[in-house]
Parts: sequence; C-alpha cells; structure tokens
Amino acid sequence: MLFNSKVFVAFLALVLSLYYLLGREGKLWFLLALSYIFYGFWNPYLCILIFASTVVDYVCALQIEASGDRRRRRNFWLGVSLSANLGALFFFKYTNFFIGSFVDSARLLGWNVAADDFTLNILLPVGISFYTFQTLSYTIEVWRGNFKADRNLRDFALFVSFFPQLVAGPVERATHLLPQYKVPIRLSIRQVQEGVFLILLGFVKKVVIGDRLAVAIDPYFATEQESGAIALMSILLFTTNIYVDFSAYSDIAIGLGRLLGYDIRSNFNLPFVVPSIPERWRRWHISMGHWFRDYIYFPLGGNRKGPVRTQVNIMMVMFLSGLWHGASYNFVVWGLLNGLTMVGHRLTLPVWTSFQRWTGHFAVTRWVYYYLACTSTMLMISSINIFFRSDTWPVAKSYVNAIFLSNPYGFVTYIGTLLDGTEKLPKSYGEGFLFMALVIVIHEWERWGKLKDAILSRPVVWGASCAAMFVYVMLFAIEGPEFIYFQF
Amino acid sequence: MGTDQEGGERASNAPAIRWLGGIVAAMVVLYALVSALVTDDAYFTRLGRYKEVHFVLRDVAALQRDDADETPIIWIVGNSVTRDAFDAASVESHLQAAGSRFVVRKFAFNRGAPVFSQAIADDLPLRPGDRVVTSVSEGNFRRGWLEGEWLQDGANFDLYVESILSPAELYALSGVPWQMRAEWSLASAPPAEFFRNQTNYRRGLYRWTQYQLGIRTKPLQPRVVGPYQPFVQTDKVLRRSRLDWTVPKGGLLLGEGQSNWQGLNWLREDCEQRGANLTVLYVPAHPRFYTEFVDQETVEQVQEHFRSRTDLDYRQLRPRNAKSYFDHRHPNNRGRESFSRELASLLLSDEGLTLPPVIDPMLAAPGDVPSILQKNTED
Repeated sequence: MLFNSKVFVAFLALVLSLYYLLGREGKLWFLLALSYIFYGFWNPYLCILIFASTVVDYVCALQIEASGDRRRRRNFWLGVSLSANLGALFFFKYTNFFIGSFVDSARLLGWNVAADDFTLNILLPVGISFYTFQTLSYTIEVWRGNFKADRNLRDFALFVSFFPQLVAGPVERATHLLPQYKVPIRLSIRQVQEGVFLILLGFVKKVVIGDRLAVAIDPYFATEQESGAIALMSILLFTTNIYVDFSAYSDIAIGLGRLLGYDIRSNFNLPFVVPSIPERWRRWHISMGHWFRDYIYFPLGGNRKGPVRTQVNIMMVMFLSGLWHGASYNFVVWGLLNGLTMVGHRLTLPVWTSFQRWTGHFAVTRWVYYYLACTSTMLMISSINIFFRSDTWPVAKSYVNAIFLSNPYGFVTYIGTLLDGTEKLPKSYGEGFLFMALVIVIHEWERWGKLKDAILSRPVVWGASCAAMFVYVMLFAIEGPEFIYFQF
Repeated sequence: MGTDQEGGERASNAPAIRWLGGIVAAMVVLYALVSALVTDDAYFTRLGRYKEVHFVLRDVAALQRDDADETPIIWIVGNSVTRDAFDAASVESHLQAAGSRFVVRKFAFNRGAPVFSQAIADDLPLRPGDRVVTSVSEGNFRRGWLEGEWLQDGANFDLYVESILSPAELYALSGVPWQMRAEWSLASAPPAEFFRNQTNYRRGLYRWTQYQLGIRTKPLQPRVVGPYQPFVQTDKVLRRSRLDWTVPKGGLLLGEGQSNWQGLNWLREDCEQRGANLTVLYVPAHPRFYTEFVDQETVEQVQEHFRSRTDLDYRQLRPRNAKSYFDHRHPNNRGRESFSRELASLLLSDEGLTLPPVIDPMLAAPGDVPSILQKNTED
C-alpha cells in the first residue's frame, strides 16, 4: 500500500478510529494485523515471506540465547539467521544480476549464450532490503549479548513488520523499538501535533514537490542525453527529488509512529545543503548509515587499523551500500564514487581545515566559504547521482559525456548557454527550480532558525501551517510515481 | 493490574486523543470546504480544462438550438480519426452545393470510440431528421484496450473517470490489477466531483496565475492536424503504431457487455428515441497498416461483425494513398478534404442527390488497396 494513495487514507482513517479504543494487547494485535494487510496489499504472497523471515529470526535468537557460552552453537544459529536472510535477499534481489554478469563474462570469452536463457522471472518483494537488515541487526545484537531475545512472537513480528517504516525505513533497531511494545503507550499533545505536522509535511514533499520533479525529469533520463545544460539541470533536480521523496517517506513514517504512540528513529538530519560528502553521509539515511557502521565498518576494523585500512574499509562499506541499493553496475559505480569522494576528502582534510581557518576570521568570508563548499558538494553529489538515476549504462554514459567530456568548461558554459538563449530548458524545469529553491530556503531556515520547533511551540502557527499544508496537498497533489526507495 | 495499567494509559492519553479527534474533525471540515470549491462548473475547473475532450464536452453542453430554426444537422462525433478525417465546413459546402439542407457540426477529440461518442451525443440537442455520424476501428475493440490495460500508468485516468465510469465499472476493469482498481474506485467515492475535477482545477489555478503574470495569453485549443503533414514512418511512429495497434494483443472483444459495444448500443438507442439517424463509418487506415500491424483475419472479423448488425447503418469509406495520411491511422489535411467529399457524397446519396463526378487523386491505386478492403469497396 502506498502512503500517497486514497486507499492508504481510508486505511489510516480506519486505524485511527479503532486503535485508541483498544487495550494495550489489543493495540499490538491490531497493529500486527494492519501491518500484514498493509504489506499484503502489494501482493498477499509477500506476507508468507516476511512471516518466514520473522519466524527464522525469532527461533534463531532464542537458540542463540539458549546456547549460553557455547560459542560454536551460538555461531551456528547466527549462521542460520544470516544464511536465511541474506539468502532470500540474494535470491530475490541479486540472482538475475549475477546471472547477467556471468552471461556478460561468458560472452567476453567467446561463448554464445543469451541472457534470456538463464534469467529467472523473479519479482522483488517490496522493502525486503529494509526488513532483512532490521531483523539481521536483531539476531546480531542477541548474538553479541547486547539484547535479550524476545520470547513474544507477536511483538517480534510487529517489530519486523511495523507498517509505518516497513518498506522504506528508517531501519529500526530492536533495542529501540521492541522495548516500546512492552510498556503502555504514552501519547502527549505535543506528540500528536508533531505527528500530524510530519505526516502533512511528508505529503507536501512527496505529492506536491517530489512527484512534480520526478515527472519533469523522467523523460530526460529515458533516453541518452546530448545537451550538457539539460543534463546538468536534470541531475540537480534529481538530487532534490530524491531528497524530498525519501525524507518524505521518513517524515510520514515517524509522524505515524508518533500518532500510534511509538518513537521511530530519525533518518535525516538536514543532509541537502552540506559542506562535504562525509558530512552528507552522516546526515543522510542515518539509520542505514549506522547499520553499515555497526555491522560492517566496525567489524572490518573501522579506523583503528591504520590509515590505509581505514580508506579500504570506507570503500568496502560504500561498495556494499551501492550494492544494497540495487543489483546493477550503476549502483556499484555510484557506491564506489561515493567511497572515492569520501576517501579523497579524508586525504585532503588538512587543506580544507586550513581554508576553514583562514576564512573563519570574518563572518562574510566564513559564510562565503561555507556555501561555496555546500555548492561544490551539491554538484559532486548530483554528478555521482547520474549513476543512481540512470536506468541503463548508456544513459549514464551519455550524461557523463554531455556534462564533463563534451565541454571542458562545462558548468560555467552551460549557465551561459541558458542565459543567452542558445539552449532552452523545458518549461517544467522552471517550476522544478522554484521548488528546489524553496527546499533550500526551508532547509537552511530549519538549520539556522529551528523552524520546526518554532512552529510546534506556537499552537496557532502550528494550526495555520497544518491547515495550509492540508489544503495545499488537496489542491496541488499530482498522481505520481511510488516512493523511489520502494524499489530497494 | 493489567486493567489498572490500561485504565491509566487511557486516562493519561485521553487529552492527546481528544486533540487528535479535534484535528481530524477540523480536517474533515476543511476537506468539505475545499472540495465544495472544486466542482464541475467552478471557474478554475473550467479554466483548467484544456484537453480536447474537456473542450468538446464543455462546448456540447453549452450548445443552444433555436426552436424556430428547422435546419437539420449532421453531427460528426467521435475519436481522433473522426476528428482528422472530416472537415465540417467542407462536408457542409459539398452538401449545400448539391442542394442539401443539412448543416454540419463536428465534435471529436483525441480519445474515443463509441463510448465517448455516446457521451457527446447524449448532450447534443438532437431533433428528428438529424443524423449522427461516428466511426469505429479495429483498435477500439482490442481486448487489452477494453480491459483497461492502457490505464495502468494512470496517465489517462482523469479522462476516464470524468467521462463515464462509476465505482463498479472502474472495479470491473479486469485488465488492471485489483489494487489499482480499489484505488480508482475510491476516486469515485464522495465527493466524486472533487476527485474528478481536482486536476483541472489545479491546472486552472496555474493558468489563472499565468494569465495574471502575463506568462500565458490565450487558452489551448483542440488540435486538428494540418497544414499538410506528410506521411512519415520514423522509428518513433513505428514504435507507437506497434504499441497502439498491433492486433491481436489478446485478441478482440466484439461481444456484448464491453464498454464500446455498449456505447454504440446506447448511441443507437439515443438516436432512435430522438428520431435521428445514426451512421457508423469505417475510415480506412494507410495501406501499410494492414500489412504491418493488423492481420487480415482481424480486419475481416470486425467488418463482418458490423456488417452483420442489421440495426446499424454501417458504411466503409475507400482507402487513400500515402499522401493522405500523416501516420498509419490518421489522415492529414489533404486526406481530410478527400474523405470529407466522400462522406458528403455518401450522405447525399441517401437524399437522392449527387455530387458532380471528379477524379480524386488521393484514392489509393487499386493494386495498393488491401485485399480485405477491396470486397467492401466494391460493395
């Protein structure tokens, strides 16, 4: 079920009208049933898969705990959990990718094989990457002894399938969400205000801004691009689109959690205008970033094994992050490029620190330096995003050619061609840039002026904002695509 | 203890839940107020209707017919082929030159077939003695089309909802996944007028703002092909033609119960009740259409099907050469002139009148006429 659908609005009306009438146990059963209905709306058979994943991890965690100090037994049950979860993820998400890679390699060696002969007809279950990582974190924490296995299958099943964050995160931790099921919910007026505000904000971001941007840029990513100016503008708009789209989902998820009495982890901390790529990754998709940090980066040694190993670890994490996003070379390249820019930033850190020190003496130079750094980071992120957005390798290549290779003075020239009328941008891009400017202004207002807190602390302002957002969504929502991160 | 805990939970949460109830109530009120603005006849809704269908339906609804004026009218209604194949003024001038009293009016748009034609005809001020002319083609009866597969991307949904369907009809579109049908059915729930018009209202608001800012100076008009557009067969056209026309794609649905068939029946009954005559035309496509996109058996099946209907006045026009089309299915303005003359001739023959004989250079050479059409042409 999509958040941005009429069916979901009807679903939510049903949830809110019945939920608060129930007792604590009833609420949990009700939420579990709703979560399965929500997930099964895509395809009822998917419920079997998520239930199987739930049961496997439930049993494995209990067995790990029952194993006490018997290390081999604990490892065995952890192995069962990892194999089952990663096996399912691998099968559904990566089988055809590896088959395709095998076929490509075989062709290079001169074997006459067709991809169609081997490709399997597999439908990727929505949100599998998210809930698989969520359940894995649970068994790993139990294995590490940081968390006690939950004996209540209902609570654990609800932890895995909790509908607000099931299909596109935030990726919850058992240590954070599961204990909340054990105590009565405490709902405050402030929570309700924040929940309603976040849900409406999420809808504005998605159906008013994000979908318009998506509709505007989609045709320009459907085919190869020759115009450097259009290519550049398209990737800037896509970077805006993916931010509003993904953060909209998280806002709605967190807002729904608030209304139901649960605290869902934050997933974004103003990542759109940032002065460096590492800073961006600290603020973007935080729940997944922490997952990779805790279960990949730290076990690899983190930054404790010397500078070379640190850079290798970063590259490894970003490579896996790329692969997590999607089973294609585009995402692998996207991950590696992000890794390279992070490593590059670390290696040149003394230079940036010196710049920062020099420019820090005066407010004007400090601000100018800060926003120049933000602009260059935005351009860098957008350029890397070519590989995220392009559906095929030739399209990605054409964007790289159009922006970077066809003209050595790219960025400056493109702006010139737009200003002197040599190149004309599509009409929809004008509206897109207005929205991009709006997003930047509100983003920076929130950073420096704590806009959200200011709104929430004044009931009249809060009421007016919510009413305005509600009317705005009603009148200006467009039929758009599903959330970008649903595909992962 | 559990009950005490639950009692405590309820008591402590009560103010917040009341707040939430108040917010939901306020939203319902706001929703009712806003949706009351977004009606069929709202200023912004009217301003936002720019697709041809909206113009046409709006124009038809606004038609006034003088009671004292007894001039009979030929109403040409239908889809994009009808729109591009006939020029009302040209047909009328041919008719009147031959002594006919009829005047001609055309209301056609870019989507269609009988189900939309019926929606137009329903609003026409028909009188006894009038004639309604519409056209059908193979594509209108493709199973995939009729079962709503083309709606899957949602792009044409507002058009569909605005034009005909009730929630039950929407839910019955078996070619669309049930999740989508459930979603669309809700769009027909109250206030359906809001859902039906939200897109147009929004466009109207934009357009109004653009007028105020001086960005836009005139409304869009229904598009009709011409000046002369030569027949081109680019890859894009070919791809589109294959996508749109390749038949069978799951075969044809010619039996009763499907919407176009029903639309045609409604149209016939409507004409009968109001004393008007109905003529259903088959406007031939470009000859390559019959060799590349549709098999002979399918064309024959459709032709036989219509010719066997004794309740319909079904006529087939003669095929034209490549100069008359701009793509595989749509005549260009030269083709339009040629088809208009043939239509006038056909209508005149019913009145016992004739046009002076001319050699039409647009007619396809006999050797180029697909065999399946030869039989009908000879008839």
